[in-house]
Parts: sequence; C-alpha cells; structure tokens
Amino acid sequence: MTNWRIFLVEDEHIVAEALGKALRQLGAEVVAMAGSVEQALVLLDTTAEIDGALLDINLRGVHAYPVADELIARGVPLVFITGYSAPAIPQAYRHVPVLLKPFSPGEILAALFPHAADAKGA
Amino acid sequence: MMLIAELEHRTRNLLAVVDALADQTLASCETLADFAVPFRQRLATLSRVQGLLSRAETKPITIGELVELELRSLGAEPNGRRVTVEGPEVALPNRSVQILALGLHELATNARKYGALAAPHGFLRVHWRVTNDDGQRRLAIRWEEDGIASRRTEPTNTDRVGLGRTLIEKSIPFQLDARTRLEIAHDAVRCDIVIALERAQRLPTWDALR
Repeated sequence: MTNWRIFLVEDEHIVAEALGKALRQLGAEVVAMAGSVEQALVLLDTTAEIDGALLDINLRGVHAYPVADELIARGVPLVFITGYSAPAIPQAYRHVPVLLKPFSPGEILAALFPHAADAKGA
Repeated sequence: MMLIAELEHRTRNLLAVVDALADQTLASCETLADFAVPFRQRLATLSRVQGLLSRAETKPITIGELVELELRSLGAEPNGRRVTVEGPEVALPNRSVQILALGLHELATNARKYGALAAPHGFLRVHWRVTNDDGQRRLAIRWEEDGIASRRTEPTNTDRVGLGRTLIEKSIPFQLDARTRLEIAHDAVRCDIVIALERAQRLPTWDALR
C-alpha cells in the first residue's frame, strides 16, 4: 500500500502546497487541506479514509491540539509539523512524532508510517 | 524561555516559507540562471516584511505603507501621475502582512516586466476602502493597470504570473478567508483583494474621506 491518503493541516498556504507536491511525488495523496482549527474539524468530519495526518501545532496563532485530540480519538496516525522544539509541546502529546520545520519530504512518510517504511526499506 | 520558543517558531516557519518559495521558483525556471533574480527579489520581500513586523507591536503596519514599500522596491515611486496609491490609513492584521506583501510583490514585478510599469503610457492605480457589513469590517484593495498597449509576453506562460496567480487566487483566500479576483487582459490588469479586519484596529478609519 503506497497510495496513502493524507490529511494536511498547515496555515501557510505556500508551505502546504509544497508539502502536497512532495507527498504526491512520494506516491501519497492530500485528501484534505485545512488552514485553521475550525476548517480542520469540519473537513475531518467530511473526509473519508484518512491514513495519516500532518498537523501544524500553531494555526493562525491558535493551538491545534483540539484537532490532534480528534485525530487521536479516530486512531489516525499523526505527525506534528512545527517550528516549536519538543519542550514547548504539552506532555500529553509527547508520543506524537514531531517534524521540525523546515524538513525534507523524505522524512514525512517515515515519521507517519515507520513500520511501512521499514518494510519497504525506505 | 517563552520568548526563545516563540523566536524559534517564527524562524523555523520563515525557513519553511523560504524553502517552499525556492521550490516554487525553481519549478518554473528553465535554467538555473533564471532562478537567481526572482528568488532574490522574493527573499527581499520577506526581508522587508521582517523589518515591518519587528516594530508592529508599537506601530501597526498599514496597507498604504505596504503597497508603497513594494512599489518603491521596484523603482515605481507613487507620484499621483502614472503611479497612484490612494486610500484611508488602515492597520493590517499582523498575520496578513507577509502573504499580502508577497502577492503585491508579484503584481508589481509583473507590472514592471509586462504591464503598466513597462508600457510608455501605462497607468497603475492601487486604491482601497473599508466596508462594514453587519459589523464585519473588511478591507477592499483594488490594483488596476491601464494603458498597456499590448503585453510583451503571453502572461499565462510566465513564472511570475504563475506564482502571483497562485498567491492571489489560492494562498490569500486560504490564509485570510479573503475573496480575490485577478483579471489579466491584453491591455489591462485588475486585481481585487477583500480581507476581513478582525479586531478593532488601533488606528481610526476614515471611510468618510473616500
């Protein structure tokens, strides 16, 4: 399985577009793109079959943890994409992998699907 | 500690934007030599924005200031003749400044290369007003170029229009819940950008003057 369906939450559109392009080159697909907490929660309700999510922690100056909670409750593999180093992330989310910006596209899928990446030797 | 975390956050986000801009610019260049000028100009826009934002806490950034800064950076002095900038003093929400600056930069570059700023009898007019519908204040910006006898190049094939169009039609609406429209004809350009002004601004608005 390589056609991962990715839910992308990032408030900087240029960055989101570049990420989407990188994901497509990796054989994944961005099934929804949100730039705010409200948008993300609405899209989460209307988007089927999400294999993984990339979530910027700070959306327009608002913490994105309500979106993280919703993704975790649904069992969707989740990776934080952020400019904040680990110490700034609440204890409750310490198990969520973090990609520190700026990161290279190759790191995304390995962080989201570590076991699949191992299996494919990626 | 909080301050350092915030500084790191801003720096890393800015680096991610630079990374994405490099990617976008590279994708539209035929040779590596084509890359340097537009990329440096885009970096210069980001750099000007950093300068503005560094003092935004004490003095809000206004739309007029941003428009004039981007025009001047390309040598287009607003002079009330061929280049006109008009509108009330309106403070911009801080988070709108960077993306608006990038959009205005692409419009201005495009005007300099193919549009009103390149044509001998071209006119560029940037004007704006504040509207108030049901208590929601909005800033409506209009960019108008006229008197372009004939555009030098088919604009849809060029990188600048490409990124400019993406920024105006996709990025600005996505990030600012804005409404935008960009129309490029052979002899004129018109772009409308309408953004919400979220909170009460520190500066008064003078709708009455418009």
